Amino acid sequence: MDPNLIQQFSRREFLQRFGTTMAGVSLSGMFSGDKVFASPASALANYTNPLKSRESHFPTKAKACIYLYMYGGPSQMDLFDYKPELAKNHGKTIDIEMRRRSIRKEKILGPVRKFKRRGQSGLWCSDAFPYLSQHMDKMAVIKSLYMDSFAHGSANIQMNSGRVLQGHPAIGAWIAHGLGSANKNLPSFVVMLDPRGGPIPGAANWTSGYMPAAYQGTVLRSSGSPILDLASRTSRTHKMQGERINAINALNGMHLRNHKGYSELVARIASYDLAYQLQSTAPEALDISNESEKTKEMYGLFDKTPNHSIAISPSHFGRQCLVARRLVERGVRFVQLYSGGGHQQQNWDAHNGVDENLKIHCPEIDRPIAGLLADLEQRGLLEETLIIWGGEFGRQPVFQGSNGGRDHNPKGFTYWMAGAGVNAGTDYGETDELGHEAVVNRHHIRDLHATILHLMGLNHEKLTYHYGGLDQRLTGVVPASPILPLIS
Amino acid sequence: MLGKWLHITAYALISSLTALNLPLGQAEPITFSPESIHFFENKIRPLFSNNCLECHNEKKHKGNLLLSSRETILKGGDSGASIKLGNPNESLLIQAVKYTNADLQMPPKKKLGKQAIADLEQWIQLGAPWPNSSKFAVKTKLEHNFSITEEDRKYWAFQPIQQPKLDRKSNRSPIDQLIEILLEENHVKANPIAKKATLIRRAYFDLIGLPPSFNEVEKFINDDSPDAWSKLIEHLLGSPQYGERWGRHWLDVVRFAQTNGYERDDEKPLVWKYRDYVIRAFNQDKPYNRFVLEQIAGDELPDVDNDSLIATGFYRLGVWDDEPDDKRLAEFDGLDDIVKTTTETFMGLTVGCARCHDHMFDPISQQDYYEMLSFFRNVRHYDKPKYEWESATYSPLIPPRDVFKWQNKKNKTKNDKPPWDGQEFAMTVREHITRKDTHLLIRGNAGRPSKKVEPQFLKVLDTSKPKIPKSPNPFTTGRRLVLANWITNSKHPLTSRVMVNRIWQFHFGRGLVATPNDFGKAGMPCSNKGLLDWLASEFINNNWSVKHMHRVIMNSDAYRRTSWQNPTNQNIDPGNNLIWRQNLRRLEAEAIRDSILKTSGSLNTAMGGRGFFPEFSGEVIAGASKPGRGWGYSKSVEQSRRSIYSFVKRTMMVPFLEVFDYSGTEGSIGARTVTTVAPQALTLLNSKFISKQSDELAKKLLNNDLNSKEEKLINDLFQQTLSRNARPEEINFGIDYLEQQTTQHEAIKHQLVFFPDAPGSIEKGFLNLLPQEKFFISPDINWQPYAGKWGGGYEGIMNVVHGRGPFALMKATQQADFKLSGKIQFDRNIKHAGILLRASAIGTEDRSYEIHFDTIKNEIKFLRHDEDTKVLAKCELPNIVDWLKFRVELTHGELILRTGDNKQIILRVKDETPIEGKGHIGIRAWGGAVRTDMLSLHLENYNLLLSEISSGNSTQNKPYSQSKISLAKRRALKDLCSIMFNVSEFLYVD
Repeated sequence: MDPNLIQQFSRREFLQRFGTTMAGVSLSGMFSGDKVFASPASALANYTNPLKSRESHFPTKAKACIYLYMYGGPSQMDLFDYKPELAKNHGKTIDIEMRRRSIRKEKILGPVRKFKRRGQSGLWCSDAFPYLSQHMDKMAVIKSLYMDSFAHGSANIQMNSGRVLQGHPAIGAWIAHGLGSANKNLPSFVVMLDPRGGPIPGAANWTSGYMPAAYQGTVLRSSGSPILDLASRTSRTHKMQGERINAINALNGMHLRNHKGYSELVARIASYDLAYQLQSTAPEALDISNESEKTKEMYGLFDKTPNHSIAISPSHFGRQCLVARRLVERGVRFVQLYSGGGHQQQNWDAHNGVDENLKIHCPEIDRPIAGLLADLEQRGLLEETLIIWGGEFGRQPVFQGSNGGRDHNPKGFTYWMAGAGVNAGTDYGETDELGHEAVVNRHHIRDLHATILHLMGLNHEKLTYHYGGLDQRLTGVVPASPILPLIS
Repeated sequence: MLGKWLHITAYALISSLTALNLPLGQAEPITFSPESIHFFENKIRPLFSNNCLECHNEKKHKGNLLLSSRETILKGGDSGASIKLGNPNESLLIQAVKYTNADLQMPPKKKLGKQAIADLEQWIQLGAPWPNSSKFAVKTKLEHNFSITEEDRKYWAFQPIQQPKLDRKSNRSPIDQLIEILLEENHVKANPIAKKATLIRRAYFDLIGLPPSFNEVEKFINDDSPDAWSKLIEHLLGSPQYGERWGRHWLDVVRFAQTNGYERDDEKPLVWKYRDYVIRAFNQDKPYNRFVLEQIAGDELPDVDNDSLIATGFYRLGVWDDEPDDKRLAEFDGLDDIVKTTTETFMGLTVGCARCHDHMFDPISQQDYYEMLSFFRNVRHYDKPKYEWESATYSPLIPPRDVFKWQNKKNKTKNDKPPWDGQEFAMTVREHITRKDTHLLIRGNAGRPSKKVEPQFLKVLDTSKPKIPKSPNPFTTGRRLVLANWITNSKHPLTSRVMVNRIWQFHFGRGLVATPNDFGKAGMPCSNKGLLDWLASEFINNNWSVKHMHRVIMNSDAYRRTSWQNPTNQNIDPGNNLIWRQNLRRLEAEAIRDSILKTSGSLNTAMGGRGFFPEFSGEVIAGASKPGRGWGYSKSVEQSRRSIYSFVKRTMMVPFLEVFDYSGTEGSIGARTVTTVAPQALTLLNSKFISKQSDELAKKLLNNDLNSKEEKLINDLFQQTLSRNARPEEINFGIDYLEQQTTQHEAIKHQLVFFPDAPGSIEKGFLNLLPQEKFFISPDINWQPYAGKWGGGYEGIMNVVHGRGPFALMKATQQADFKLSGKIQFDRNIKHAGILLRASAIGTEDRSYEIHFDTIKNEIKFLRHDEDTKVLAKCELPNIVDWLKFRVELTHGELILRTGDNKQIILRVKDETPIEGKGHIGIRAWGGAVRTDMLSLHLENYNLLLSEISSGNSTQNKPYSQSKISLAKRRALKDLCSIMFNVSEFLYVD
């Protein structure tokens, strides 16, 4: 129940809702007086539902964002960043910064995939993505991002929260803080993980940091109980569960009567109502059984598992992409899907062979993402949904190890965006001739964050939260600005 | 060439550049050849204007650098002179444009082309030709125009504590007098004193974080002696649980956690000794000034002891990245963490804000920050644990002077043992033996040190120079002790105010300053300065005794008032800033969990040690990159300890605590936010913890009196949970609820629920640690859970073998042949489920026949599991509406499955190489829950309902089995118990 409506409730209505719906349980006698709340206005004066839907700072197309997070750091020079010089110089030795201020002599590893210009826009995409490459005209590709860390732990944290230091809220939490949730029965920020495990360092990636816990990412599982403790562990029918909640709310309603004016007690009653709703809305949002076979096929749900012991079937990510669509349809603001979990080749962290790595992971996501883009487009949802693709950093243009691996590289890497407000077909920024370092139209990821917020209708300088003596921002204190060429 | 540049340390750069500074006032007029001016105009001027002047112009001059005239270029900016005439290789400008220094890369957005860089080099080589250079005036903005005004000093929090005027003849407490002044001014009448039942509950939660028992409440209510209240307070202050309650408040402020954070998030071993020290300190009522001294400089105290050494664990509590991107930056991040935490914790000032620039709101300069930092500059950066004298983060619990004596001892014999030999270790502060200088860092950039600074107090508070005596041993500088003495000086305007404000906050739900870590201008204003000052001086005058402050506060009328929101007052002062009432407060996460444990009778009050590992459900473990790594397994009795002993792992917080707004662990938290959200309701409705504790409470109630009437049962329930008798309408409600729910439970009493509780991937070490019952939740103890088959091992991660995951076996019966019938139902998200027959466990795996339901492929298969799995037969899964009726027969090697009302045979097979011998019935599920109903075994002469098989000799179920109360009613009572854990009266303090 929307707490703002509570003030309009008469006693009778309240009893209908919380009292008499418990057939045979005589709670109605517990209430007296004309209204349950004698001074409803003051009861609600101090109460604000943290996830109440809020206006954006300025009008915008995007209602929701789906962030496809390629955990481990996908290899830009084998996927989207075409570098002919890299191929020509394969095998040559160069001096290159491999870790912060550590310059080593390493041998160049040419691209392991073949590149082609695609579509009207002529954007480059390698043959690693036979399906996704058909949608390049929907994308704005930025090839010149850089960030501050060579290590997964701090890099994931920075990509998600803007800082390499742990403890700051994730971007989804910022958007929840800025926009609330458009569906009062679902969380604002949802995270779905790879079945092989979560990213390093786990929940710190979707934390609300110093902001209220209501903004943190809710991990939604595509199997089992979708939300922690959503289902009862005891043998109990849905009706019995409902009666249990009614009984709680009736007792709490009576307690409230003796504590008139305490808005948080009103909120508590509302929160049980929402919890009850969630028990049906969350599984419903995840239930794809009513989707057509054609839709399921589009997302790769029936496709074979790539031929590798670590690979998983595209149906996992496909199912999550499909669920992501269902979630944004239902008003969830920010959905983050992780491709890759655990360590090394289980994710995009291609130390032990970039060719092998791409053979594991590209087929896992190729058709699902292509399906998502096509499905959103045919439903007219692409115009109001922002899609972001990328990892915590990119990879090095040189060999690592004996199996043709590539090490971490935060100095230059690629992201693409599509959908709401995105300047489709844009090819923006450049790395050097080897794809190692961003050189033309360089942008720190704080600019990417500012861009995402901008597309969501939020000004990154105005979206603040006071903590530790400062008005904190996602983009921090260093000046940042949205990357305008990516925005239509 | 690149490498060469990288070896120049920033410090060397600065000193070489300082030597180059031109005497500006005496610059001689220089003339350049027309060719060189031509070169400048054609190449260099456009280059500057296109790439540099946007930021380094007359108006903007970033980094205090102007590139609009030759003089200003020569003079340079924060980093020093930009160019060295005739020597491009040693010119900062060239380094910057070549991006050779990671900290100084210009222009930041895009590196200049090779040609442009070559032109600049040539220009410097030529002596930086510039036309009419003398015309340009040198303009630079004074960056350090920071000054502290008289007005700044007059800010209330920086002023000395003043004794407010009090009516000494009045018999009202000073607290009430000082509140009354404001109430009268605003024409607000204070609330009446609350009932004794309310007061005792308030006192219990405030002081020990646990509810009083019904008897304790009764005893207090019936105690008419005038000192009943004081006796109660003394009783609680004397309880060891007091330190656990107040120690936890302190742990919030000092960012306590037991791991490092980041990728590996490894444990900080022995850090729990600090937590135990804090609890001990509160229980001993250690004077607060001593408490502060010990934490900041426990190793430097003349009377150093074990506790004062352990106290310096304070320095070690922060996050630590064992794989930092930039080690130099990481070191300063570590020092920043110390400056921030120290100033917020003890002084309520956000000095950390001045790391990169002067404080935006408070008179704290960037220089102040680095001078404060220099007190800590020698503290060694965190490092992996080493239990030896040379360790960076640990030390033996012996006075450092003993080590010094030992090191200086001449003629050591072989038998002489170093003083740390065999000593206990703790995580402590450690300093570098070689002294480190502190420099102001330009924009907080560790790669850009500027002038050297020395330890100095915050100048807005104290301009005197700290006198740092020579340290009696080489292991510390003695600087921290000087700082600690300054902070704990009774004249310090903030230390006592900040602490009494914290104490007040935990008695009223909010401090007089509502931002307890920020007494500066960006914080909330103080709602009653006179009162805060009186409390502060009372604190100091009573030897900084925290317990004294509890007595003083709790004996005031203000503390004992009702929380009633009187509408008249509420209109005048909705926020209760004037303190005309108490505030209704939700219990903190720990108090909720601890209260539930105490109420159910399971609370284990054992104190201290490493702590315990609360059980996580599978979905929580699944979120880690190595699921389960670094988590442990604790026995049930351990898991019933107070929440303060729950292991604090930064990247895997305990969901039950987290959902109720548990403290952050990354920085100092002065006041937790309080949210009210649906996941809290889900936790209290459905979590395993609640289910278990409700069960315990139901058992306890039935155990108390097996044959009691229902009125008494309900009343007992209210006594146990709310420490009061039930009202008549509540009795009626309880009876009605029990009756109604019993009927409904009766209707489903033959239903059994099974579900897996493990993620598909688990780290090997954790997998081996977990007992089998943690993999699969089965309905009762007749059903023995097993982990199933796990394989893989890539990067130490084990994966469940598809189709062979967790299952449970019904251990009460064992047969060779089976006739089993019943109904089965699957969760919406289930992946597959199975009925096992003639099943036996081999290790964690099964050897069995399985009727396997694959809800993804919509198939039913007959499987034979041995070491490998063989598909014996398969058919399409019939369309299931709600429940699937089935009957299955296994006779030696022959398997028959019938489904539906007409018991149609849908699958039949004969296994030519059957599994021999007897076995059990089992259930397997993956991805979601399986429910069965009316599962019955058809024996020769009768049918046996599996749900009715008694639970053997289990002691666990004794109270139930002795009772004559039906299963359905027991379940209804358990539901009612869980309801009580959800009611606001249980979760809030009035």
